[in-house]
Formats: sequence, structure tokens, C-alpha cells
Amino acid sequence: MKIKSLLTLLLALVTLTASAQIGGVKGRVVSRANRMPVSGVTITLAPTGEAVTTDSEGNFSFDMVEKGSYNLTFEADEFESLTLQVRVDQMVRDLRTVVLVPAMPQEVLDDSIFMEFDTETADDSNALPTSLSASRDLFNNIASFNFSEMRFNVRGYDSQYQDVYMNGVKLNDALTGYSPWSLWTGLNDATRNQEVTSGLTGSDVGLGGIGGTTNINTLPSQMRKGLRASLVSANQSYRFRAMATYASGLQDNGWAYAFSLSTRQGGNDYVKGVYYNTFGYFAAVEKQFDGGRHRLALTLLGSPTERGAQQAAVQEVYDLVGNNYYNPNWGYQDGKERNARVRENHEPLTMLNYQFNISERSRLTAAASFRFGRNGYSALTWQDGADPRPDYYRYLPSYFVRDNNLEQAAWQYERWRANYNNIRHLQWDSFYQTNYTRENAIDKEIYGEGARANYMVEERHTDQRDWNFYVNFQHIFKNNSKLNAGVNLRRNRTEYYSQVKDLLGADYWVDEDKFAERDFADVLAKQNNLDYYNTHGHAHAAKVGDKYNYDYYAHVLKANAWASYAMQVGGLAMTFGGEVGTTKLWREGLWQKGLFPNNSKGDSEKLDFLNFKGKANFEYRFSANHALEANVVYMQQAPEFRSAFVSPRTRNTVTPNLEEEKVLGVDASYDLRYGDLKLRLTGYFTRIEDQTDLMSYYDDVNSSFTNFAMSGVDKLHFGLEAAFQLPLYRGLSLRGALSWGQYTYDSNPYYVQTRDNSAEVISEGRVYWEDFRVESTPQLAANLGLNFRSNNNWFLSFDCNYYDNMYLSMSPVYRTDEVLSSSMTDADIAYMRKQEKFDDAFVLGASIGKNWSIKYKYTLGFSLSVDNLLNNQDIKTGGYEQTRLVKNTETTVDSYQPFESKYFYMFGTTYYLNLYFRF
Amino acid sequence: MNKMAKFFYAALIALLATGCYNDYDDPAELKLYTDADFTAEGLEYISIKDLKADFWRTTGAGVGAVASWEVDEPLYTRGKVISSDRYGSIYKSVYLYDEATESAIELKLNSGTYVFYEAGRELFVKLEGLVLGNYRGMVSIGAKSGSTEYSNDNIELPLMVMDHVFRGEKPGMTAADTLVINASNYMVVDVEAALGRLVRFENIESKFGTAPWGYNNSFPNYFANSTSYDVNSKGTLNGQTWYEIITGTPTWAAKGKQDDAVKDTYFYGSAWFTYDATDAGENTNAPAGNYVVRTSGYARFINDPIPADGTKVDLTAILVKYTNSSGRYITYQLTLNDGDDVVVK
Repeated sequence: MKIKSLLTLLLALVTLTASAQIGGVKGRVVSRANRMPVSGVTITLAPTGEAVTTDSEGNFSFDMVEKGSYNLTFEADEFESLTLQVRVDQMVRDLRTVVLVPAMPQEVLDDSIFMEFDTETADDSNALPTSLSASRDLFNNIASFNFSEMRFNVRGYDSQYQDVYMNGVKLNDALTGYSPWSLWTGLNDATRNQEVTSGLTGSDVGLGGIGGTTNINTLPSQMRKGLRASLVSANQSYRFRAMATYASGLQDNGWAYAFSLSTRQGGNDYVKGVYYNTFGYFAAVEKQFDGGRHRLALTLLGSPTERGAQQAAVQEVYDLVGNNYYNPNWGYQDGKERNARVRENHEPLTMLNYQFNISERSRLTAAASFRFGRNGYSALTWQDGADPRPDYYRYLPSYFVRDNNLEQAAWQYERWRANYNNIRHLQWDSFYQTNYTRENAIDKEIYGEGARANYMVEERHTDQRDWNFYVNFQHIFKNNSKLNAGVNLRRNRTEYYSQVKDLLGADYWVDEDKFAERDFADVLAKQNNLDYYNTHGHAHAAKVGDKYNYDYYAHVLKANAWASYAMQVGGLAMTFGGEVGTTKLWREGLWQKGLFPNNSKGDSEKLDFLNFKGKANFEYRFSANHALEANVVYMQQAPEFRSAFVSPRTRNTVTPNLEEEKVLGVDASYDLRYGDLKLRLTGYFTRIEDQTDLMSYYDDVNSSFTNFAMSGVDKLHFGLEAAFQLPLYRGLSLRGALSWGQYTYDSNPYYVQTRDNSAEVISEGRVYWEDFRVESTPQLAANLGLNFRSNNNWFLSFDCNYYDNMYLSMSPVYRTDEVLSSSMTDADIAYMRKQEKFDDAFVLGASIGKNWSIKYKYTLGFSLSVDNLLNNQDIKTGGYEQTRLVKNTETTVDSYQPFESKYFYMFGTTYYLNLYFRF
Repeated sequence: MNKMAKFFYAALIALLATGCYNDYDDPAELKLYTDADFTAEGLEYISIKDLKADFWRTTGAGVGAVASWEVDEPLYTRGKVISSDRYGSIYKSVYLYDEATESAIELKLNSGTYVFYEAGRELFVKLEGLVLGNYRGMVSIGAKSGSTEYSNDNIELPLMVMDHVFRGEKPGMTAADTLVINASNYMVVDVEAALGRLVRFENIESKFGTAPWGYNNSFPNYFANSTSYDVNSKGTLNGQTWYEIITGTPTWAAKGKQDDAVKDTYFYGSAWFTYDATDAGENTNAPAGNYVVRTSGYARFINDPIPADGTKVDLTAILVKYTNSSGRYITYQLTLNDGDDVVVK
């Protein structure tokens, strides 16, 4: 089903004086996405039925048209159809520029595939955004709707390489670079107007990188006029969605406004403990002055979200519980399911846009945006006692097997199988009951009345204040070459802190560092907030809502200027672009940490980085039917804040060997179009150098919590993309897509491991993973599908998808010399370093839909899609190696082996039913 | 306006259809158990004293031997918690005291036991399926070990703990819970019967120097936590004793200080306290009136100084026993709950 965007007509029709009975109509069709000519557009003149096609310059012409009123219908694949009323007199009427809006594909693409992201994503199945984005490009279109089930990343790139804009403002997360879909999740209608480029192709709002660009247009004058309401029933992410949107269209007085509200509720059929309790709101108002020469728009949107998360588990647990959808995050509290890991965020985004159409050829746009609010992710925390997580490795049968305690292993196996006393789940009641009894004389003397919590739910916050300012100037020269230039400024201040969310029946939580307490007898060392301790003589007894553990600001300042110049020489279209900018990063500690009194509070060193980019695009169009395109980019960009500091929760220490990342990318495509027959072939090559990565984990070799900083991480991505559409019979067509790539680590990066509590360097060297595979996306994905669209608005589709070459995310620790011991053989070392490859997978899906037009005024419709028809529940979609190591106690020399890896699995059969109404 | 009304009507329906996810009732307080709960199940009470006696009788083991008794009868025992691992000196254990029989025993659990089983609270232990074991003269209740080197293991699985250990009332600590030993009665008190009890040693003297018994070891001394440990033996690193490496004012225990090789190592500390330091000769048991306070390197009070040589103190600690594997070189050791339990006179 095609989603219709609102139509934009830039030029008013010109009335000509009639002096003859024969005239004509001519004009030039361009795309709104980039103002470039659109060839192959079929234009039908009604009621005569005469049709013409635009040439390579987008030009068209009807001659010898009798005087009268006509409807001109513009139709082209991947663009919204457009009908204009035209009055023809005795002369040839020049419509000059007709703007077509790129069409968006099927509605069944729900933004739940993007989800939100924060710093603790590895465990959350839905946390990492994919780099997918639906677009008019045939390959991306197929990939978006079919490959998202495997968390497919186009060309293997992380989402940070896809630039996401709203009304021209780039909104990729300032701290991680990841795409910011969570800001407007659930607001599908309001964010439907998207202009998408793929690969290395830039857009009007920026040069883009290697992963394409998406610009979401929320200006109400460009939204489809009318009311739209929809209800969704599904079983994959949530049960129910309701959405209502109204747009006024551009009114005679120059005003336009739009509203949208939505909610998504419920869990899914497979994973217990997960749920959605999310809302979305959107309001935008626009005023056009001086006949549209000046436009001013204000947008406010937000998505208050509460979502219970799933975490991965080891295969042993999946096998014990009998399915691959176990979730260790939840348990019963007084008989009701409760999830410990809940994301709660509400980050409103407000934006002011101004557009000045200086002339028909020149346009100036400016925008300012502000993002604020709260973003929290809860977690169960405990002070003392056994690890309360049900799937902690010491509670599994395998632990006892390794300990040669087979009897205990058998017992534990039976307990897990029978879910004895809810052994599989968190024991919330027990946490409360322990906390109830924690009132004691020792704590009372220090902290006063009340019970001291041993368990509590904390909420780790990443609360952003993000300001953006953007100016863009476009000018189309008389030779139709085009200059596009812009300046972007960004200021981000994000507060990272944790806060007490629920004391689970206790009265306060004592804010001390329990790991420091173990390692250091000094009472000052265990203070998270020395200022508080020095003032009060004891640690803070934190109540619900109080901050605890850590509190610091991340500061990011970015400024860049860019320009591109597009020109055409014969059939060759060329665009050259350049960008230069600077990034400044620093940490500002708000608390003085007991372990690092001289390096925790106040500003860190301010890190300056130079960013630059050079890009060239070439497209040679042999005819209206086929073309060759080639692109090249080289860019250098600052590391993200998330990897710039060794242990930002505790101190200002900068990650060793931190430097800018460099990216070289080239791609080339062949594009063929004969009516509905389409083919696209693309080859690409990308080399990414000098990435920095950081992780913190408990090191069993050194018996200490440590920070592991890697620098010089290089990656190589190359491969082929292909997509085709072949019309078979009437509305029936065959479609297919293939993505084959090889994404590998291309270096053995250098690492430095430091002890978290003392900053002491305990290990450094190389991570031996050169030529190992980049994780988390299938490196081979293929689709073959049949599509049918009837004249009376039925559509059907059936898709077969195949995936292979998908690999587990590696722990670098296993690939260092540190974990080797003298007793290990070459085979042992190979076993330790081997990367797991997942089994290949074959998945079927189908969809059906229909819409009815009622009195030519209302539209009622539905769409139903069903995925994984074969109900295969053994398909791994991702996972990671744990960083911990099992110590082998049976040898005289300490030796280690990896912990079991954790996995996520594709759900079995799922459905998504959407009912919609609009007028 | 009509359109707007429809819009808000639709929005209202959507909002009303939403759910509630974070509305939880606080669970009820945990049930406090009494004897009646266990006798109703058909379990038979056995006192701690009788339990320990049954262990020695059943196993017939020597005092230093590895010996286990897996209880296969429907028995339960009870005792008041007299220890705390809050300060890291006691680890993964509680000591239960039965006032009626003046007997105590170690119950081996997981870390942070003070949180769940605070001092002064009565605990009931269902014994069937648990394993009593001996470690160098000390009997404890635990779980079955997978290793033949150990007579039992800690009961670390939370659900296994919940199956066997039950909280009772909390009468609190009383004077009767503490055995008092002083210079006038140390020769007559039956320390063997008092093993595992909380004992206050009044007016006892801190002693630095070479002990004239056992291995003639020097005190205070230190051993790495990871090192096979015998309080009476001498340990060295590169020819130096740990005591020589860890210099400065002697403290209850230590985290390595000077030598890079040991700076991150945790050391047990051993301190000698005596009522009578008369020479007893090498290769002997420690004579009556001589005790060694043994403190983990993970104790919170490791940096507190050991009272200087000759200082008289009142010292309250759990009394334990340590022998070699043959049952020789018997030393009565003391484990402090907290550094504040040593009061200088």
C-alpha cells in the first residue's frame, strides 16, 4: 500500500489571454527531495487520455491541445501521484516546475524496529537501532520490510552512519551518534513525510556519510490534509496501537496546523515481562507570509515511553525452560509480573523553522531545535548478599558440573525444569521482606530512623539538553546547476546520574561504593560523594528520587560548515561537496569521588577534534531507462563521547590513544527502468579506521572490575546489493533483493586495561581479531517475493527471505594474550578465539490489504502482515560473548575458558493488523 | 470544529484504552517461624549440642580429618545468630547458639548473611539433605561438596537457603549469649564445648613476638588470602616473611603495601593474645590461655592497629579451633565480628 504524502506545488498557474482555440501545456518535473529532474514520469491529460513521458531533463510538453479545462496526472514509480487542474487557452501554457514528492512505502513498517538506545544496550534485544530506513529505493524498500526481522544493517553499518534529520536539523544522538528514532517513536503519521537517500548519496540538508540520509519533514503545510485514525493489533512488540492525526492543510489565511496523538500498549506473545506503555504527541503550526515567500513553523513532539526490556540469556537457560524467549528481568510481586529493567523516557523536542524563498531559484532556511527531558533505564541493585539475578551463572546446573558436583547439578536441573519456587524469576517478595527487617541500631545511629535498603531499583539517567542551530542556502543557477550550503551548530549538555526509583519497602539507601568498600578499608575511598560526606560525616541516606552513585555532565560542542555543488554536463550529473568542522568534548564531574578525589569533580581536559569530509557523486544517464552512478567519500570525524573517557562515572581520565575516525567509501550502481521493470545493482567498498571502543567488566584473571579501552579498531566492508522488480501479469510482479557483503575487522587493535578502582594499568597489548567478522547483521540476505495489486485496491504479497553469514558479537578480552596460560595448547587458544557463526535461516512472510473509498471522500482500509509463517523459533538474531571467564580449578596452573554466550532469537509467527480511516 | 471533535474523540478512546503497569502492592512481611511449624511437618528437633555429638559419633572422624555426614532424617535444629559478616571478617557464615545446651555451630551460607539473619534473631534449620562437615576441628552445617578435599560446601543457592533456613523471632542479644573468660577461669572453662560461641576475653594481653609453642611463629604475622594458610606456619616471599614485607604499625590484616608484587594482595592477619605466655615448647599445641585473632584481608577494619605489645584488652569474638590435618598443633582462634569488639583497658 502506498502512503500518500501531501503534494507541493511551487508555482502558481499563469493565466494567459486567449486569442486562439489551440494551445498546449509544458513544464519540468523535479523531485522535492533534491530538486533534481525526474525522468520517465508519465503525464496523462484528461479527458483526452493523451500521455507523454518526461525526458532526462524532466521536461514534458503537450501540443495542439484544444481550449478548455484539463486534469494533468503525473505518475512515476516511487513518487506520489499528482493531479493538477489546468486551463488551456490559445497559447502553450508553461507550468515551469512541477514538484513530485517521493512516495513512502507500506505502512506495515512500524518504527518499533528502530527503538531507542542508551549506554546499556547489549543486553536489550530492542535497544540498538538498525540502520534501516524505508525509502523509494527499490533495494532499501525491500530490505526495510523484509530484513528488519533479522536486525539487518545495510552494508553492515551501525546506525551512527545514517544521518537522520528533522526539518533540516541533524538529530543523531550527540553522545553516541546513533539515530534518534526514539524521540518520535509511535508518531508514524506525523513523521511520515521523509526524504531518504541511500548509501553515499547526499541530500539537500547535508552531505551525508556512508549510510544515507533521512530528512523528516513535519511542516504542517506539507502534511496530508484531513483526519487519519488507525488501530493496530499485533503480537510482536505490543498488543495495541491507536493513532489519530489531523492536518489542516494550508489555509487561505496562510496558516497551517497539525496534531497527532498515539499510544501503544501491551506485550507480546513470546517474551514475558516486556510491555509497552507509550504515548506520542505532536503539534505543529505554520504561518506563511507574503504569498508563501516567508514561512515560519513551530513544532513540538514527544513520546513518553515506558517499556519493559528483555535481556539475552545463555543457551543453557533457554534449554532448561524449553524455549528461546526466556527473560531474566522479571518476577512476581504479590502475584503480579514485574520487570526490573524498564526504560522510561520523555524527551520533548521543539523546533522553530524559517524558510525564505528569496526567489524562484534561491532559498534560505534556518532552524533551531531544543531537546530536553528525562531518559531513564532502571535496574535492580543490591548492597550485599547473593546475586539476585535468577540466571546468574552460579545458579545453573553447568556451574555444579564444572565443580564436579553432579548431584547438586541434577537437583538444580530439576528445579529449573519444574520452575521450583519460581527459580527462573526475580524474587521480588523476598527483596521486600529482607528490606523490611533492615532496621538496626548500627545504621540508626548513623542515618537515623528507618530501614536501610539492601535491595532497590535504581534508574540510570541520560538526560539531554541538546540545542541545534542550522542555516541552509540553496541556489539553482540558470544552467540548472545547484549550490547548496549550510552551517550547523550544536551544543549538548547531558547529565548522567543514577537515582533511587523504588526502595522496595525500605526507607533509604546508603550511597557508598560497595566495590571500593571491598577493596579499600579507608572510609573516604568508598564515598561516592565526598562533599556530602565531609559536610554530614556520613554517606547520603538517599530516598526515592534522590541521586546516588554518580552525577556528571557530558559536554559536546560541534560546529561545521558544508557546501555542495551539483551540475550536469550532457548526460553526466555531478555533485561535489565538502565539509569542515570541529568538535569539543569534555566531562564535568558534579561529585567528588572518594577513590579519585583529585580527578573526579570539575572539568576534564577539553578534547578538540577536527572533522572534515569530501564527497563526489557522478551519475551518467544513458537514457531515461538506465543509468550508472558512482560515489566516493572520505571523511574524518570525532570520536563519540561514549568512548572518550575510560570510566566517566568515576573520573575525568581520557581514553588512551583517542583520535578521529577516518572513513573511505566508494560505491557504484547500475539502474535500469523500463516501466515497471526495475533493476538496481550496486557494489560498495568502505574502510573505517581508528575507531575507539570502551568496555567495563569484571576481570576474573585480575579479580577486579576493570576498564578496557581499544584504539585503532579498523573495519572493512565491501559487497554487492541487487534488487529487481519484474512485472508478470497485470498487477502481479516478482520482486527480489540480495545483499552480500563481507564485513571484517581489519586490524588487531591496541588495548589498555585499567583497574577501575585505582586507575592502575594492569594489562596492555593487542586484540587479535583481524579478519574476524563484524557482528550483529547477516552478511548475506536475500529476498524473493510476489506482489499483487488489483485495480480495486487489493494488495497481496508473499516473501521468502534467506539469511546467512551472521556472527556473534565478540568479546575482545578472549582475544588477548592476557587470558592465555602456559598450559594452553594451540587448539585451546583457537577455541578461545573462535568466533561463532550462526546457522543460516529461511523465513516466509505474507501480507494482505485493501482499502475502500467511500463517497469519494473517505478511505477505509486494512493491512495484515504475518511474519515467520513457518514458526521457526530457533533462529538466532543476535547475541554476544560475555566478558567473564571461567576459572579452571582442575589444573595446577590457573587457566580460563569463556563464559557461555548469550543470544536473542527471532520470534515465531507474528502478525500485525492495521485498520485505518482517513478523509 | 466537527473535525476537531472527531480528532479528540479518537484521541480520548486511545488514551482510555491504555493499561497500568507499575501498580504493585507491597508484599506481606515474611512469616516468622516457631517450633510448631516444624513439628507439624513431622520434623524432630535436635539441639545443636546433640547434632555435633551425632556428627562425631556418626563419622568417627579424627579432629583434623575431612569427614561428612549427610543428614537423611527429618530433623531440624534451632539457634540464635551470634555473629555478623557485616564487616567482612566473618565470611559466608553465621554462628548459631543454643542457650539451653550452651552450644554453638557454624551454618555455612552465602555472603551478606547479616542482611538476612541479623545477630539476635532465632533461626530454624531443616537438616535433611544438608551435610555436616568437619574442618580442622570445627563442625559446620552446609551443603554437599563436589570435592573430596572438603567435607561440605556453603549453601549458596538462594532457593536452597530458603528451603532449609527459616527466620524466627528476634529476641535480641543478651548477656547470656556471651561466654566470659578471664585470667581466673581460662584454665577451667571447657573451650571444646564452647567452640563456635561468642566469647568475651576479659583483660587479656596483646603479645608481639615469637610464640613459644607450635611452630615458634612470630606474631603478628600475615598470609596472602590465596596462600595455603596455617596460622602457625611461616610464610615467605623472596626470602622475606610477610611480616617483613608489610611494614609499619601492625594492623589486624593488610592489603599489600610496599612490594609491587603484593600490593593488590589481601592478607590474613594473625595476632596473639594471651593470659599466659610461658614457654610450652616447639611442636606442641597452643597451651591454655593463648589465642590467635585471625582477620581476613577483606575485613573493613584491617587498617585498625593491633593493640600494642603488652596492652590489656577486653576482646569479644567467635571461638574457633584449628589443627593440622593430623589433628595436631591445635590452636584456638578468634574471629572478630567487628574491630570495635576489642576494647583497650
